[in-house]
Amino acid sequence: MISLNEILLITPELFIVGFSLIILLSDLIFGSKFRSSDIASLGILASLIITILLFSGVIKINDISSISILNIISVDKYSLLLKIVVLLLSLSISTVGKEVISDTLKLRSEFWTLFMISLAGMMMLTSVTEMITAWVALELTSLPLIGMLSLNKKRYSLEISFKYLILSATSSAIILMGISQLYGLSGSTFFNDIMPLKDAFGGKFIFEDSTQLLIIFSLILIISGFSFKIASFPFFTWVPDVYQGSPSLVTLYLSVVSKIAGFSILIRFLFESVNIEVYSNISLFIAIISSISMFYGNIMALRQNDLKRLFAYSTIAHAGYILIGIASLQVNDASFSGINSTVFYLIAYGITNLTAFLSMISLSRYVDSYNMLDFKGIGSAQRYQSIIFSISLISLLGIPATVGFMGKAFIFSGAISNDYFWLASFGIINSLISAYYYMKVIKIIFVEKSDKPFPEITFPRLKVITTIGAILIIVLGLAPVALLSIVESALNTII
Amino acid sequence: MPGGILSFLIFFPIFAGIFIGIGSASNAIKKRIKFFALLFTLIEMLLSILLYFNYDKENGGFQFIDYFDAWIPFETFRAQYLVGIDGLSAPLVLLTGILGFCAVIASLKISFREREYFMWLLILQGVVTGVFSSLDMLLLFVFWEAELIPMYFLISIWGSGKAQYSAMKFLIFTLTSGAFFLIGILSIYFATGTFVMYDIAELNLIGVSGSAFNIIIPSLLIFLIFFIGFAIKLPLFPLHSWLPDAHTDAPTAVSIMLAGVLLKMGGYGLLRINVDLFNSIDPTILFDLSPYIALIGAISVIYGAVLTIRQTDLKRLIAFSSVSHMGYIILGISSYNAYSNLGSSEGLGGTALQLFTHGTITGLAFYLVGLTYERTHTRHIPHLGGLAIKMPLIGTFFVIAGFASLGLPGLSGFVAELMIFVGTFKLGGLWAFSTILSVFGVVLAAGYTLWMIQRSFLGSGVSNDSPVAKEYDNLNDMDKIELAGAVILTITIVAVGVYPSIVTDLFNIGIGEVFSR
Repeated sequence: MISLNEILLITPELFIVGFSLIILLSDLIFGSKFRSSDIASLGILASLIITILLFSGVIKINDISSISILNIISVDKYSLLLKIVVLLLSLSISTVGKEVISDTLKLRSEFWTLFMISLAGMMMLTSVTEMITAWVALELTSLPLIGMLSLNKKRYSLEISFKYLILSATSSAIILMGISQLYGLSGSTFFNDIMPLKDAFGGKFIFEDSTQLLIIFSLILIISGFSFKIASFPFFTWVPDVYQGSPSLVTLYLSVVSKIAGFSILIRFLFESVNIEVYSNISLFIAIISSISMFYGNIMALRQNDLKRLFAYSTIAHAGYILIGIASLQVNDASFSGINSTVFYLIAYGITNLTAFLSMISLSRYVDSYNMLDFKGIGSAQRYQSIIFSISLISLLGIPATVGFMGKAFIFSGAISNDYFWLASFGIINSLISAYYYMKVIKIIFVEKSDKPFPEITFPRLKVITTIGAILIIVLGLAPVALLSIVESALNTII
Repeated sequence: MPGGILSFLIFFPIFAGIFIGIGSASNAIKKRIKFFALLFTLIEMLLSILLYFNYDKENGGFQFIDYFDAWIPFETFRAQYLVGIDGLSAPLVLLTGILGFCAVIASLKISFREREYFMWLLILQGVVTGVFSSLDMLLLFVFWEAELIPMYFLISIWGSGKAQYSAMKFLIFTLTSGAFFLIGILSIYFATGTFVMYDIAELNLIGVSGSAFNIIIPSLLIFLIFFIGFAIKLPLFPLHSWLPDAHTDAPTAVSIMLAGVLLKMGGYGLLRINVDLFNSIDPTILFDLSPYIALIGAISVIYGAVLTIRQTDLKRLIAFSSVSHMGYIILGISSYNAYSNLGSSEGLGGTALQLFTHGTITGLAFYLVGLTYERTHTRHIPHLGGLAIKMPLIGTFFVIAGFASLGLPGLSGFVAELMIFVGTFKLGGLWAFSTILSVFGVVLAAGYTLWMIQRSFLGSGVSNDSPVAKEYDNLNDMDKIELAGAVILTITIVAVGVYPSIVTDLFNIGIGEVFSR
């Protein structure tokens, strides 16, 4: 039986689910008196505060021996940290919802309800330790997203929501295939128990053994399935179309929150269930999909003129960078582990990408387009927002003094210390390629001259959120200790 | 000298730049941006001179060390804020201080987006000072890459011609150089466990290099990775194609900084890492490669010089001459062999001196070309002529810069080149062959320099079909403040030429320590 104290562990999730209902009810009872996005912000804020209190140990739940519920949901520091990140990013999205949400969006209260349900799924994803539950949580994040994508009067919205639906279903099926194979081999669905050769073979890996080949095969299936969520090879073809066609809010949510949740479950799954011998085989596969994602994303981004498409390809490339860290997740000796750097980069990328996206959305409001060439000379008219946009682009590119550089330096260090010298080199080559298109955007904004006036409008909320983001980018770029020590302390609970 | 002075020297221009960029929202500062920029860089220059002459030659080693442990303080990944200067880097910090001031003087005529311009220029100066004083490799890399952003904006916004193309080209090439650098330092870090350059010397890796150092990749490969990275930055033939474009299209002050100090980052990197660091890791690598390095250097000298002769744009001409002069640095580094065999360091000392003298000479040349261009609005040599009649001071200084560049005894260029030639020639074999080849570079340098001066400054005046003909009668000579910049650089050139020990003493201390570590 689940005790009441154990329920307390998932109060953050319960708050999110509860508020999703409140949004619906408030729309029913009060009509448009309260703004749905603000109610959502309130719910996320409440959940965030509880999560932070749990993380910092202010709230201690007594009378239970472990921090997990039936071994299915583990509320350790790792999951709490990633929950905080997911909630913070979602809070930023819902806070600026008022300014970003476009008039083409129908049924706002339903939109935010779906948003909250999906968010609850993402939070679950960070803490599940059992495969079926993980799969359910994954579906919980994906299905509302299909609804969110189609709640738009634009022509493309049906097309892209269908695209998303079909690929989502395919990838889920592939994950399920992998899970059932692993279950068949091990008789368990818990992360800790599914690796049958953990003890049986004395940790020695023999390739001729068909069981072990099957394990590798099912792990490959699972990782491929997750690639849909994290927008990497092989399931990444939906990304540019969906990013371009969907409302900015959904794009933002997909690119920032959804990705972090996807990576958090992948990291935990690979870290807790797979032992080192198997990992050294599977990591080659991860390294390959990482390389393909990086090269594909960066090379395709070179020729894009639509900023949303450009960011879509850049997000694929960044999935590749994070996968470099995942490829070097487990290490044999005391060398530099990839897991710290991966989680660090994940958070850094979340902050940077959020700032970049929000400032891009803010700037696009002045030119009413996402075409890069329409942004000409906006730097002199909207100086402040343009500077923030440039800072975030420079961080995505990975120039020192930004958090993006520190993240990349850690990721590449992890790879080099784990015998992935070639993979680190690929990562650095890709950073070089990406310099071209990021700097092209900065050039258009600052160097070229505008030929038309820009309207005088302000977005105070966007300004505040992006300012915080830019400050974090610089501060964490100069003193990464602040974040890295938190990450280290959080990871101690699962290592 | 009080502690923290070196950090002050690095961060003062950066914060001064931010102050100009942000603080100029108030009107009082806005009107005096140029005054503030001059003031800040003057302080910076005086401080760097003070720092230079306070370097204790008796004790040598790294001095003015500032240390902050907790930058990235983790067991498995440890980097610290660690700056200090030794005999190798002290003159380069001085050079940055002097050229930074001259660059601001050269940009007093800027009238377009001033506050951003001076913000980037000052930040650039601080960052380059950081490059020359970092002792932690990761910190060095941070400064190394951070220099890109100011340079990109300075070239692309205030440049002329195909400025945006050149700025992007500069960016891509420099990022590539940085990428090689990053791979190199990470490989070294995971082989040795430290980013601090002088700590690696104490690990006593020579002899065990077969086992301890080849964990990640062979040390020869690491050496080549660093070498290529720095060769792009230097630049060395055939990786030089970004330099003429960037120089031609950059504003004057940026050309001064680019030729004067940014190229020196490549040479400094070679000396600091490929010579200094690898001397304590595996001396045989450079030992074995040095004859080929000498040959590449000689080819670079001749190739650059031959291309220079055919240039018709004043700036492009000086840019190509830089490629030629940087070839001497590669040639000088190849005389590393001499130290191991003969225990002398003329070649390496000459290399270090060449870094310093080329900075001042080319800085002066670009400074004067900038002044000329402001007046004539063209740099096309066939359109010029007889400028010395109307602008005798600019003409005089230009002749001095030209003579220094071609290596006239009594001026600083001569000393450096002579030292390099002596250092490499005595090794015989391929070194001597390369030296002989390079000596012809000096002949070619005399050719292109004198021919350029003759065509643009001498003669009775411009031809009638030249666009300059109309304004020829109204050309003004330099004013007092512009004279100050030229005089500072000329004094440096003459002083080093007549009494080279001012600089070579320190360089020799630095080089000597490399081999005693």
